[in-house]
Amino acid sequence: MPNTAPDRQSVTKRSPYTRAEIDDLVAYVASLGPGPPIPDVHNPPGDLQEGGELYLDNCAACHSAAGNGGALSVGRDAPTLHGATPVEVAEAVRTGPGNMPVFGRGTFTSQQVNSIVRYVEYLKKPQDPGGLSLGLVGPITEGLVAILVGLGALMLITRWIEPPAMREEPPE
Amino acid sequence: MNDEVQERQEKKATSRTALAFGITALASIGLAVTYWFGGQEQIEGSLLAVALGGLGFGFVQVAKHLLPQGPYVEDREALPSSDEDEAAFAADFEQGEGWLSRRGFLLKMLGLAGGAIGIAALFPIRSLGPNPGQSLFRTKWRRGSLVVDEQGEPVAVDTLDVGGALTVFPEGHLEVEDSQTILIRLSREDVVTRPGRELWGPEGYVGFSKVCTHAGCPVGLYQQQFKKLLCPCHQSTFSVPDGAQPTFGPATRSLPQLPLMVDDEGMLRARSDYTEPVGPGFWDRGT
Repeated sequence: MPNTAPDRQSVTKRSPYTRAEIDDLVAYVASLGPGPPIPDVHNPPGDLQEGGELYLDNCAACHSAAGNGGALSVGRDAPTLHGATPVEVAEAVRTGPGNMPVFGRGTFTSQQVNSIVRYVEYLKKPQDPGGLSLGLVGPITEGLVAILVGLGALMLITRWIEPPAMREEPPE
Repeated sequence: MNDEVQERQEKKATSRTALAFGITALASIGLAVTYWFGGQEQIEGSLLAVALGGLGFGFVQVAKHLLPQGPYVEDREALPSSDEDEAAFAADFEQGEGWLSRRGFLLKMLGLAGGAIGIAALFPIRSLGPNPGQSLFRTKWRRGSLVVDEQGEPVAVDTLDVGGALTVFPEGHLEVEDSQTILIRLSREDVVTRPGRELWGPEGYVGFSKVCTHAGCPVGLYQQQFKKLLCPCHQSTFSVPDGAQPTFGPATRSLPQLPLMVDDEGMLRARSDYTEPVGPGFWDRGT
């Protein structure tokens, strides 16, 4: 905020308004009519396992299973969630900013939203029983490892297969 | 290298090779047994890797330690071969022949390993059946099927806000892949996506098969601002207000639309099954 144009990808930037000015703007807009309140992300408390299931069902398609975000069509992308505060995550779920679908009270209870928020927080530093996660960004880092480690191993095996006698220089 | 050392080394290589071929045979039997008793992909994959690895290890041992070693130099000379060349060829050939006749045990072990792999490979033929029949043409949706979400909760007419999207299934058939449907609320008014579908979008709800018509991936990305469904696998893009017509990417057919209705209690139900087969094309799908 503010957006340069309504049809552009929204990006995070420094707000030109002070905290007090933002509060005044919010108070004025709230006086114009009823709107959803700012979610209380700690009450009722969320459940991590339920949050994980809801996240995979509803959020992972766009934001990726690891919360790293991903590409959409028409030049848009779903942003990474690692920089979002819990309140921002809950607000986005409820209001559906930009291309994000709206998840209203009929879809998720407040408790379910808080579970999702808790899981998104967990994704910032997840347990990784598989070892080195390589950033969980997909084929770029994983392909690099496959080429260096995989092809390296193949080269060593190729060297092992070759009989020692063949390594000598053939006589003139 | 004196003959005694060489002989000892060849003996060691022979037993290593026999051991490797034996391991191949055992792993192949294990693979067939595992497949027969229901199968488990990781175990089957590991056994296949061990079987082929043992075969490869044995071949390398034979090549490195048992076959005559080079380097060989062949001078470019006039054809035909000289008498000495012919004699040398005959001598080399007989050397190899001598090896073959001396290593009958290894050849038998190789035959056992190869035979075991071949027989194990016959077992998966069973996986080619049975014939799919009508299962590709129908899903689990029926007239009056209650629309439920992934937790099995029924979807009421006020469940989704305008701009909301939800993955739904027919009641009692959660997790059935070909029945998964993406439910979108476009407005508060009835929505008609195409002529002939006047009653299919009550209260702004439209349902489309979530199985991509290109390669069968779940079309799970709904871009609310542009009312587009996007497939994450190959970026096929479908325009929801036009009946999920493809506008970009490799998909050529629209996502089938699920006819919906609202019952007396305000719950969403299906009017019928999909009117066309869902998912990618197949050989006898028709047009």
